[in-house]
Amino acid sequence: MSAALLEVTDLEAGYGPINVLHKLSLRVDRGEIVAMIGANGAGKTTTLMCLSGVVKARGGKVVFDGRDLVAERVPAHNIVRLGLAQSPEGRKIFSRLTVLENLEMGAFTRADKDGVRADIEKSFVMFPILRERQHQAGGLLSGGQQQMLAIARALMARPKLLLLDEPSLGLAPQIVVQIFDVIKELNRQGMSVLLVEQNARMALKVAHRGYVLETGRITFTDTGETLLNDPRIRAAYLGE
Amino acid sequence: MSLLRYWPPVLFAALAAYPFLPVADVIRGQQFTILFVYAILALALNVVLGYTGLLHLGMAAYFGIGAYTVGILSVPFFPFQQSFVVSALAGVLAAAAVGVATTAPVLRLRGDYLALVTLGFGLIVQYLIRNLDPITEGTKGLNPIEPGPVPGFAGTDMSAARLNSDWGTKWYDYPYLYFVALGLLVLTTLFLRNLERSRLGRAWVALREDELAATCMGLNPARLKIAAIAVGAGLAGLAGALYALALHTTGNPSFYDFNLSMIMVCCVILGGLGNRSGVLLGVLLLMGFDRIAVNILDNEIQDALGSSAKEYMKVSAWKLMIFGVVLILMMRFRPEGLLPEARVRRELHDADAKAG
Repeated sequence: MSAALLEVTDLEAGYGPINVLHKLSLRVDRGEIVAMIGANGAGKTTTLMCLSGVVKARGGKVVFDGRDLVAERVPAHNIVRLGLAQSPEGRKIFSRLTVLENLEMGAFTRADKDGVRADIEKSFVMFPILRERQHQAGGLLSGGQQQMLAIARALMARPKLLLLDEPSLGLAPQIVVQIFDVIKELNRQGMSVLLVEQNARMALKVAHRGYVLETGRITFTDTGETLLNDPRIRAAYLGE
Repeated sequence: MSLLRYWPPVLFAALAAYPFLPVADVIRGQQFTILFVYAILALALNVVLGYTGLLHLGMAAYFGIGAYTVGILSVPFFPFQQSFVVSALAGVLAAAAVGVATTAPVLRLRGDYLALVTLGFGLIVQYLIRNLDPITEGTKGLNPIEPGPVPGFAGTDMSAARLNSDWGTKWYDYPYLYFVALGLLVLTTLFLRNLERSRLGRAWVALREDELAATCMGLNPARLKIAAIAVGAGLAGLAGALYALALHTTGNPSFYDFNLSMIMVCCVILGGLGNRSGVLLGVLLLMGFDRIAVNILDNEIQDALGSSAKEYMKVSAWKLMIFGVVLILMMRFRPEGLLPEARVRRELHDADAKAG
């Protein structure tokens, strides 16, 4: 088995007449945190939606865990079953379902009731506030709590690769730090993560490797630290 | 409070006792039977609109398909003459099949667009019923609907079971059909209660809340929506089958028109979108007012005023305006319905607690 858990080659995707991704290639190895940074409209969310099968790829290969999702035309609802779960942009909590029900929905593809219960317990240990609020409607949580719930919900599918779309969106700085600590901790426990972020500094700090996306193309790629110190990246994305 | 929360079983028990009471009245009982039928229809719409959030404006079409299937399989005009169990089952399946076949191609449409397509579908079915004379007898309707014996019973004669000279002699007369309709309504609510708590029911609600997130969780939106339409249309078909049996005719094609679809949407929204008890209350109030209370009030006015009673003095003349005003007031002051779904109530309640 190769080290690459996800290998994307020459991915093309778009909406109607517009192509958003132009021969995009990237790789996530087992046990890695990979960050993808870029400006608004660069195609970050489209990339993740394409990996989750919600947006159909127009060309290229997405090999996940040894299977080509594009060639096999794996539909969105089966991609989760293969071990690729996403916490979408804007969190997308089921606002009228309770916290507990949100977590249960995350495990929709699973039939092992005991395992699901054990995993809910795990998310409560990771995010104690969710235990406290378990019977409240998801929509009543604060932004940071909703982000925690979104991550916990995605983890309920027991993924091999966790896709996180802008987990820092709209959160207070100290909450962002908390969220990134969780991401680091998950990775320490063995979770592979593909992280899409506008908050380039935070993302590159935790990431082993990073990709810079500009109008649907990868323009730079290197280790997180190197990108963080690259003067061009610093000028364009870190506001220096 | 707790008693209030469990009012539907109490109401069902009271309704089951009604025909045995000294105040029982045949006409009133037959009106109640029709009310039970509409309650099943509203619960069917609630599966589609309440649970899954699909604004379907053509539910009356499935109701009509159920009624006409029973008609075709029962009337002497055609050579089938099946028992009601067979024809009702056929009606349920036909309605569900048409529902799936007509909505599957348009599932990508959302909100108002789906509403328009389903509205068009409802109109098409209504005009087919009106104009397919050789099959539906057009505006004359299919009659008489007098199905064969109930399986397990020797004949259709129920004379031996009569407790009262008002009671009918056939099993599909009052009050036997009254009990059948009430029984099916109770079964429907039990079925839906279990469905709500099932994996499928949860998935529908998740889909209604956020389709993208639901897809990311591994739900298949297309299949879930088709399942909702199949269940909803099937139940509407059952309601239609009972309706035709209760009237002993399919009646006029206008019984299955857009007005009925719309009034059902009003019942569901007035009562509380997604909540079974709320929907029952909505039917009770709206259809009870429309079919029963208006008649009683009109008669009272007629009796009180005698020959000087003018048309505009009757409640029936003002009926639609009263509907309109009630709906406007509801949307202004209680948009979540009289008995909102627990989730909505919890949200509002928690929000109040937070604010306070």
